[in-house]
Amino acid sequence: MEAGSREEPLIVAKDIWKIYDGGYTALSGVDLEIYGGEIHVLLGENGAGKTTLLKILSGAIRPSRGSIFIRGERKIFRSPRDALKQGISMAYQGSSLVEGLTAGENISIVARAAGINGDELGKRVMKTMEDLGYQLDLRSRVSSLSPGEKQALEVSIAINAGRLAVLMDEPTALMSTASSQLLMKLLREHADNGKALVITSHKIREVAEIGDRYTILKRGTRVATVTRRSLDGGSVIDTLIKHMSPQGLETYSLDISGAIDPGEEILYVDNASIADDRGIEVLRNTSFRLRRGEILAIVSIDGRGVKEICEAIYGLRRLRSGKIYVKPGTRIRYIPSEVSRASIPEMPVAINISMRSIIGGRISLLDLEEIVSSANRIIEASRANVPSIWKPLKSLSGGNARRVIAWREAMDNPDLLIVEEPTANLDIASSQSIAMLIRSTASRGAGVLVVTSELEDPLRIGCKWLILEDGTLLDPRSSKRVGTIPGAL
Amino acid sequence: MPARSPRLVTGLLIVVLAPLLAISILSLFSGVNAVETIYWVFWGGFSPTQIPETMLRATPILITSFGLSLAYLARIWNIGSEGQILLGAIATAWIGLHLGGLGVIGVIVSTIFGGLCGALWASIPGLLRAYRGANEVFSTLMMNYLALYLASYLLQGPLRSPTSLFPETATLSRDLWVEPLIPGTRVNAFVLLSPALIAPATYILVARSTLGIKLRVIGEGAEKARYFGIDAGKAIVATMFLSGFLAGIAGSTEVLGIHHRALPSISQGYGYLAIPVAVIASLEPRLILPLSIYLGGVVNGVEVAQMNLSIPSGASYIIQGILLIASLPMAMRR
Amino acid sequence: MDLPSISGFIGSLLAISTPILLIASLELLVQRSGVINLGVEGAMLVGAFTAYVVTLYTSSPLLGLLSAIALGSLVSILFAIMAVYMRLDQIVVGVSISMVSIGLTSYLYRLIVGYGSPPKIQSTLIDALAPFLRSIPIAGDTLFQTPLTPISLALPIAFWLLLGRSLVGAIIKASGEDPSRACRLGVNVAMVRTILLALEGIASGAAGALLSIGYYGSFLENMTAGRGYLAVALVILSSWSPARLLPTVLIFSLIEVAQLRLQASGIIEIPYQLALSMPYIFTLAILAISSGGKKAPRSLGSSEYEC
Repeated sequence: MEAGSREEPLIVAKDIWKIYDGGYTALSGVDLEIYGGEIHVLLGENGAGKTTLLKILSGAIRPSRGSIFIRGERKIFRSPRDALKQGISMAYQGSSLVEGLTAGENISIVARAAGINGDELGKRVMKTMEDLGYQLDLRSRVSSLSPGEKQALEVSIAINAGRLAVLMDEPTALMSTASSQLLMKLLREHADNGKALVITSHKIREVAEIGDRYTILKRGTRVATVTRRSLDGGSVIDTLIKHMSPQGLETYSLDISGAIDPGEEILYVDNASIADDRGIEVLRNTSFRLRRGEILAIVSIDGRGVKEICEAIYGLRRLRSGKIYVKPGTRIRYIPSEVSRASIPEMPVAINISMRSIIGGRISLLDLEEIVSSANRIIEASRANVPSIWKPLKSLSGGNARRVIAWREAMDNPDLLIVEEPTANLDIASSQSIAMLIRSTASRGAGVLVVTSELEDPLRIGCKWLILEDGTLLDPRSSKRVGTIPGAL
Repeated sequence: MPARSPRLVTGLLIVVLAPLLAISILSLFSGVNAVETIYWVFWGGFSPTQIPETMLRATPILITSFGLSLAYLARIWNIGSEGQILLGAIATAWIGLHLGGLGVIGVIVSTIFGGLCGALWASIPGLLRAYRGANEVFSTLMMNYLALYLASYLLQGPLRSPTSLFPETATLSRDLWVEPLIPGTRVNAFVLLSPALIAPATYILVARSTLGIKLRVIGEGAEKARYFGIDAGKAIVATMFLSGFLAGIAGSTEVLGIHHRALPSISQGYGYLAIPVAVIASLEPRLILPLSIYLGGVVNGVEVAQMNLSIPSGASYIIQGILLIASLPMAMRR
Repeated sequence: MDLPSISGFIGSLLAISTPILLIASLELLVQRSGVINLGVEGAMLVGAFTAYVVTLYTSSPLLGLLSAIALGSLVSILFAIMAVYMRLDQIVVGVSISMVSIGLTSYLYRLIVGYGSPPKIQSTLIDALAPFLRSIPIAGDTLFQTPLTPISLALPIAFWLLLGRSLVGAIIKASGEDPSRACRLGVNVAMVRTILLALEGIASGAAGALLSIGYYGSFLENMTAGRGYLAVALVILSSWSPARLLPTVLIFSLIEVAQLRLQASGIIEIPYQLALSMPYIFTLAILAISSGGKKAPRSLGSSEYEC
């Protein structure tokens, strides 16, 4: 069934705004129309507002302004419960099932809220799981399922619980390729039965085949909505990419002439295994080395393991097995992806800049002169826009705060610099200058380890890189595994 | 550089008004006009003749809230000062009874000993929080009850003066008495020295020192502390030790300066009254002195009002409980 | 031991376990839903006081029990407003409520009774409820002083079934494991918690009434003396499992009976302060041993969650 413009839309979101408590504007006046029987794909970079928009439609968060209409009638969702009652369900990124409960318990809770029979829903979910290639025992605890199974279960529940519309945030991120393809087929069947399906995805290739309409979001506003019919088959991907990043991808500098001869070894990860908070291994029996003056980027396409690897090397997270060798006295500095993990956002910018020397030293009076001069030095170098160094760090925009912390760490004479998601939530200009910072830090003799989920980061920085997939490192050119033999690489 | 926030203003209003509101409502139960009660509270607390007594009560609140304000910066919610004061006082009296004739040295030694006992008592919940993950609000409250029963046992048993009719220790030898400096009052050196020392010390440590910032980092949680290279466990125990030490000293000053012996009722809820003061002081350290004096005056005044208007006692517990809930959750909010 | 003295021993064991079991069973559900309520100490004390005053004036222990239940749940709902809806720190709210309850009951007690020795009530709850006991088949009125005792024994079993195999149980567990996700599954977490807290208030009020107008026949200042806190700790000690709660409470009651008998026999002299501080010592010891247990509901103690 084609998305007909003659029909009345099933769901209309009008002028939706979301401004979070910290002042971050996630959505500024987005309109969206969703028709019954269509697959509607939301596209956009990280931070474009896709998830926020879905969460507003599902009642999980309330918009700061704007209204939602179902079949022309205005509705206010105070909670997902209200949306479920109206027949709108949502599958969250990864999974949002309660881990300590069984699959069956989770299903019966949703069924109650949606006003449908629990056993009935259970049967339908099992059937859908089967269609996706998974065997489900309703008595098994969610925590015992694999990430892929959890995600499939989440999606299966949502598909069957939503009578009118099903919202899906990155439903295939953790699924196997085979299951993802099965899901796409299944979605078409459900759409043909008249349901509206809204889906976000990073994988443009995957959704290029499936969507009836595509809405592209950028920094909280709608850039465009295009109908599949208006695109001719082959150029779907190109058109979408053009909408998403008008400058294209060529602007990135690939200049690596500044690379210097590698010096002594500064980091040796020996046959290490690292697990995340839920105990899932994100790095398995892997070895790699880093020398002074060298930059190595590890790219995790699905984003898993980025934080954990950084934390393990910095010393915040225990290894499950193996060893990390760092020469005694090595000065390690670490730029995490979130500013709040390396600062006290409520305290002034200047104090946050001097935080390491304040904490490292003895108890004494604050040396205000020193604090002011360091602050000025860092701010000047980072070219962050800081109205007053005595205003709290959190009063800066995300990008500026990130610059301040990045330069604080990089300019503290590190021997080893760990950079997590160097360009997360940064615009192109800021991303370029972080790349410059990383290069100059390395050229001053530090080893720099970049761990990221952005494929473009190593290109932007111009450095050697490896892909992290399913806990192992791959060489991007040969797709061969590297570092699985202790002492190799 | 504490952030001056609307939180401070509302917090201050609550701390100032809550006890007045509570006592007004309680007096209504007793059929007494609330306006009259408030009048007596203010007269009993802040009329010129009452000021010396008010300062006397403000002193232990001030000393204790100094230590607490540092703990609260680190988001360690010690509410066990009452027990720490009580045991500090008993320890001071016990050692003081062995130090007769040593004069000033005896005073110093027994003060520090009282502080150390308070510190050790506070270290127990500190260790439990740091290494066992036990909630310190819950555990310090339990420690308060235990201190109460331990004190009752000691003062009725091993430490009881054979000549006294009441459960209390013998009186210290005269040379350990910290005598009143202003004739006709009980205002002693402790009462005069503490404001002069503690008010500026609080300001400097909370707002102008590297310690204040270190404590705030500890309060941000173990993970962030480790990012900056701090061992959060050790820091928590040290902070509890310090706040217990100051509470113990507050107990010592009561023994050496006022009662010259230990008795069960030596702390009139000072440990609990110090909590709201410390909550505010960790936001704005310059308020530690005025607020200590204010609450010292209110307790003093409530007692005067109770006597004059024959309102049953027990009001002070209610005020302490209400102040606790009115102040602490506000500080705990991120 | 001969038969009567054995049944006497079990009788006093159950008498001691009943109020703690009543509170701890409900506290277990409350904690499984993610809330730790130290206000039970206060709710229990308010229950004890209300029951006493109402019985004193109306001579009806049943009316006393009902008012205790009403005010006990009122205290609990007050806790819910502050800790669940205003999202203030659960421990601080609980502690404060209990402190204010101690102060308020002492104050009102002085106001109503004065400073003399307290008048005993005419007929106790045990007298009033005796007829109901005859209907209980096995050893009704020799082991059970009131119907509250068999209820208290049945609660952990009922809750074991509830948590193990019912939708309501799943909803409670979901609220305590992960309130954000529970909310996304369509659970009204705040409502679940509030209802459980109200029920716990009923149990606390009844437990308090049992102390004042059941066993003692009068009221004493702070007469609950840490039993509410102990009930909270026993829930932690039994790893949040109703199946373990029953034996855990019974063992602690056994210790108390043994200690009381030992003291009465005069074989060993225990300072009365040590006896009185037992609930606090046990509570602290349990906190030291069991805090941060792996079986704890994951969101226990935190009211902050987003959907």
